[in-house]
Formats: sequence, C-alpha cells, structure tokens
Amino acid sequence: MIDWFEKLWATWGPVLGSTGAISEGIYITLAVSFASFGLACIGGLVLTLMRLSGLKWLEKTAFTLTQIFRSLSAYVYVLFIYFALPAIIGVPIPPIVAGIVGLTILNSAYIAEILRSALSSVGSGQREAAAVLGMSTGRTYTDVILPQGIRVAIPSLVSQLTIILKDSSIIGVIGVADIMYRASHTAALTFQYFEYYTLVGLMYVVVVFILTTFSSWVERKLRIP
Amino acid sequence: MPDMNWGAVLSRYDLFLAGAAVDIYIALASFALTVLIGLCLASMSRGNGFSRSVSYILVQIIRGAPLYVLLLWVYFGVSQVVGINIPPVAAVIIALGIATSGVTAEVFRSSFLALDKGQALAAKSFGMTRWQAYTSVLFPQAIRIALPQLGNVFVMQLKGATYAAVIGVAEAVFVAQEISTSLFLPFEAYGALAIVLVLMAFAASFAFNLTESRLRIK
Repeated sequence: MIDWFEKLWATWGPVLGSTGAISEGIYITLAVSFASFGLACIGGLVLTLMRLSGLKWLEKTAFTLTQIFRSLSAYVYVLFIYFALPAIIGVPIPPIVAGIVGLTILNSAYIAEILRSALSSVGSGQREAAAVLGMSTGRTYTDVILPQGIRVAIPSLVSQLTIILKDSSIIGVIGVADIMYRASHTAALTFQYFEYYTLVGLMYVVVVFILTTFSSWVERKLRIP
Repeated sequence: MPDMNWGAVLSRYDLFLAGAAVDIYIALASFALTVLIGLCLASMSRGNGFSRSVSYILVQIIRGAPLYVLLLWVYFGVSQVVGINIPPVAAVIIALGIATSGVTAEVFRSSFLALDKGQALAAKSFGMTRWQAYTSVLFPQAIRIALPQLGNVFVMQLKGATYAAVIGVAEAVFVAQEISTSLFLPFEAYGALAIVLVLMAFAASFAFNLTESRLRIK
C-alpha cells in the first residue's frame, strides 16, 4: 500500500509541483478569452442590429456573414490570420493578436444569434409603448429593449464565454504561452503526457465550472420578479 | 497587393478533395460516437439518483474540457498509460466524440422531455416493454425533435475534424499547411482551405434540413 502510494507520488508529485508554473499562463488564457468575448459582443451586436435593421440587403449580408463565420473552426482562423494574412497585408501579426481576432470573428456569429433571439423575445408591446412615448429608435434600444434583452441573453452569453475559453487553448499552436502551451511544453520535457494533460484539462474544467456557477447566480440576481 | 498565384494552388485541388474526404470521414465517425455517448448520458440522467449524479458529473467534466486538450490527452496521454499506440485518426474520432457528447446529451435529454407524457403511458398500456417503448414509440419522435440541433452538432464535428492536423492526420488543414510551406503561398492555400470548409459546412446544414423535412410527420 505504502509502496503503491510512493509510486503514485513519484509520478504525480512533480506534476502537482509545477501547477504553479503552468497556471501562470491562466492570465494569458483569461485575457485572450475575455478580450475576444468583449470584442465578439460588439461584433455580434453590430450583426444583430444589421439583421433587425429592416433593410433587405443589410439583413442578407449579415445573415451570410453569420453563416460563413460560424462554419470555420478556431484553429483554421488562427492559422489563416497568423500565416495567410501577413502575406497580403505585408506586416507580421503578433500571435496573441491573431488569436484574439480569430476568436472574435468566430464568436461574433454565435453571439449575434444569441442576441437576436434574446432581443426578439422582448415583446413587441414594449417597442410600441416606447414609440407612443415619443422615444427615438436609439433610446428605445438603449433604455427599453437592450436592458430586457440582455437579461434573457446572459446565460447563453456565459456559456459562449466558456466555449471561447476552451477554444482559446488552440492559440498555443502559434506559440502564445497559455496554460495549454505551458503544459504541453513541460509534458514534452518530462515525458509525462498523461499527467500534464490531465492536469491542464482539469484546470479548464474548474474554470468553466466556476463560470457556469457564477452565471446561474447572476441569472437569479437579474431576474425580473 | 502582392501578386497572387491561385493557379498553383487550384491545380492541387485533388489534394484538397482528399483532405476534405478525411474530414468528412472523421466527422461521420465521431458523430456516430457522440450520438451513442449522448444517448447513454441522456438515459442515465433519466434513471435513479446515483446514475443521475454520475451523468451530471460526467457532463460537467466533458463540457469543461477543450477539444484540443482532449485530443492531445487521448493521443499522447491515454496511449502512454494504456501502453498501446492509438492511431491518430482513431484518437481524433474518440476525442471529438467525447468533446461534443455533453452537448448531444443535452439535446437528447431535452427532446425526450419535450415528448408528451401520454406517449410513454400509452406504450405501457399496450403492454410494451421499456425497450420496445423506447425503440418504437419514444425514440422515433425524439429524434425528429432533436434533428435540427443534431445538425448543429454535426457542423461542430466537421469543424472539430480540422484539429486532426495537429497530430498529423492528412486532412484539409494539413494539406493547406503542406502547400503553404512547400510553395510559400500561405494566402492562397489557406484561402482555398477556408472556401472548402465553408462549402462543406453549408452542404452539411443543407443535408440536415433536407432530412428534417423528409422525416417530418405530416
């Protein structure tokens, strides 16, 4: 029994010891995820407003863009922006920027869908009431529709944030030192692939779990009684 | 705008087609796997307290683990611990099947919940066994409710299949990388790749919409 435990400790001890070194990358993972999430919210809002604008050609453009954006994976975006775009624009793109831009484009499409369904869940009576009160279209959106729509959207937005967080693990392939990159680096040095990938996988699971718990708390707080 | 050389990339269209075929193969195989795991997890969540909590914990872990991590975990980690060499394609199929099974389980769970309670009761009053009730009454209806969502899952599989290039499977992204480095035409190679992948995703959604309208109960 003791023997078995010592063997286990000999394998996992150093792995757990390097948790600190690996988790330093969590700042990069979180920074990239939150930056992409913020930018994707803006992009998604723009796409949604285009969809709801009432102009046929604008609606069609937004729809086509959404369909195209969501049919490529984060990996393809990162490769395209990091390797292919500099060949055209002539300036190298830093890897972390390539990661953020790629995740932003991909997730704008998803967030646009989330926002669209949330905004259309706001009853048309609200819109009419705002019109009757003489509110401009801009004020109708900022004061009436968005505050109610965002409440509906929050659970889906947070689950999209967790997807961004998970997808951000791919930016290691272009050399951004996030937790996944650090873990694979250490795994390759020590040849303990199973242990290090399990560790980093559990780190993602924990962060995602914290986010989903937080989201259900926010959802309860923001619910209109 | 520098000179572009699309001809050199387009003349290698056969490589892209072969790569896309590998992607489709991976997507189909892992889709079958995710449906299987998803159905298991969904039926576990309808069982007693113990199997419910096991299914809950599994779904939480699966939903938290990124595909890229799962892929390297299966390919390098699990093969190391088990002591067998998992072929790269098999590793991708397993990892991708696991990665989306959390979503698939949710899809099936909600479609079974959407069924009218009377259906299960009616099947029971006809003297059907639980298994018969599932295979000939509940499942055929649940799958129709689940189909649009399953279409999304299949597109996720197609997108996920591109990650196979990381461990050296010769699929479309891998082909683009090879062409990009050997001819030094990154924009053309990755541009062609993007077009192929977008078309594949569109075709998949179209196929699922067609199936949906074919299976609709009139």
